Amino acid sequence: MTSMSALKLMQDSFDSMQRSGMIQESITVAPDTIILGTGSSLDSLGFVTFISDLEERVSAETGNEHYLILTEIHEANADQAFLSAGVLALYIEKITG
Amino acid sequence: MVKEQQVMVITGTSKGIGNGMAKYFLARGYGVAGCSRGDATIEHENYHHSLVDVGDEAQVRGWVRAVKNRFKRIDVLVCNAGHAPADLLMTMTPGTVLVDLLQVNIAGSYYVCREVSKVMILQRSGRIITTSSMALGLHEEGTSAYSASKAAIVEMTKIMAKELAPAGITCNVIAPSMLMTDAVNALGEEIMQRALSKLTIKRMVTIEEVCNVVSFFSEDESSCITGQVIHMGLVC
Repeated sequence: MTSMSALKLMQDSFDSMQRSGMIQESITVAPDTIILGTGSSLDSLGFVTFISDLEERVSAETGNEHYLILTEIHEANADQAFLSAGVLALYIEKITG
Repeated sequence: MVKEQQVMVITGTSKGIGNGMAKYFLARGYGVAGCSRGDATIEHENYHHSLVDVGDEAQVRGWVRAVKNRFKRIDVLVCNAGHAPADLLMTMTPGTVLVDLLQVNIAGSYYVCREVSKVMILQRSGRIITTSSMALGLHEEGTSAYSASKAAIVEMTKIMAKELAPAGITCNVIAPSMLMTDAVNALGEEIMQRALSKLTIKRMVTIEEVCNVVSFFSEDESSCITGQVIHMGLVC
């Protein structure tokens, strides 16, 4: 899966969350969209919902089981808790081959 | 009988309390996904067994995903799997015993609750029930490692309850006293009688009584009950 495809899945996930009322505002995903950290539109529960939903979408899209393990993302500094859509997309591209 | 098939995940279903619970809820129409480190001991059309070491993070992750794929949802989780080693004074307890207890009783429950709660968060509903022990109320000599692990379960569950409440998920604890299981039977008559004498209700509890508490926590009408511990047979 390419990082562009991963960004598209993120957009689908955000759109789904908005339709179900889990997030209020419409989010347009771009590589610099902040998923986690200052400036993110997601609270902690929203973040878990997003990652869990995205995992399912990635697995369905590729036909293989994939897990998004944040500690595996080098750029996601656990101490500073920051993750952008672009970094996450590159990670998805890497784990899906 | 339940209105439509509800899905219950129970860990440690090859024997003991987990086995009894699985049979109880299968008889009441639930679909049950169970696991243990050994082969299945239950045959039922609505039961699915997996070989899982709950202390292995990757195994738990894969198992919960497989359960979700098979059953499409998880309504109730009962975290039952755990070790209860023979009593040992703290000064006699090897580090390996302590580490094994922490891995299975705490990390195992932690991994299973974490992965199942992700499924429940997407559903915006769910019931998580963890298992503690009468050991918390007895403060018995020889149970320092075991009791510490079971105390951790209570604290973990209370914090989970606060974190998951916004997603419509309740988290509660059952703390049964003694049931006649293989593990308890292996303790011998003298130890069993000594333990029973310290209980408020001086008899073994039954699997039906334990399942009754699980049912209570699982009811729609229990949606405002979270972070609670129900001790059975003992005033704590």
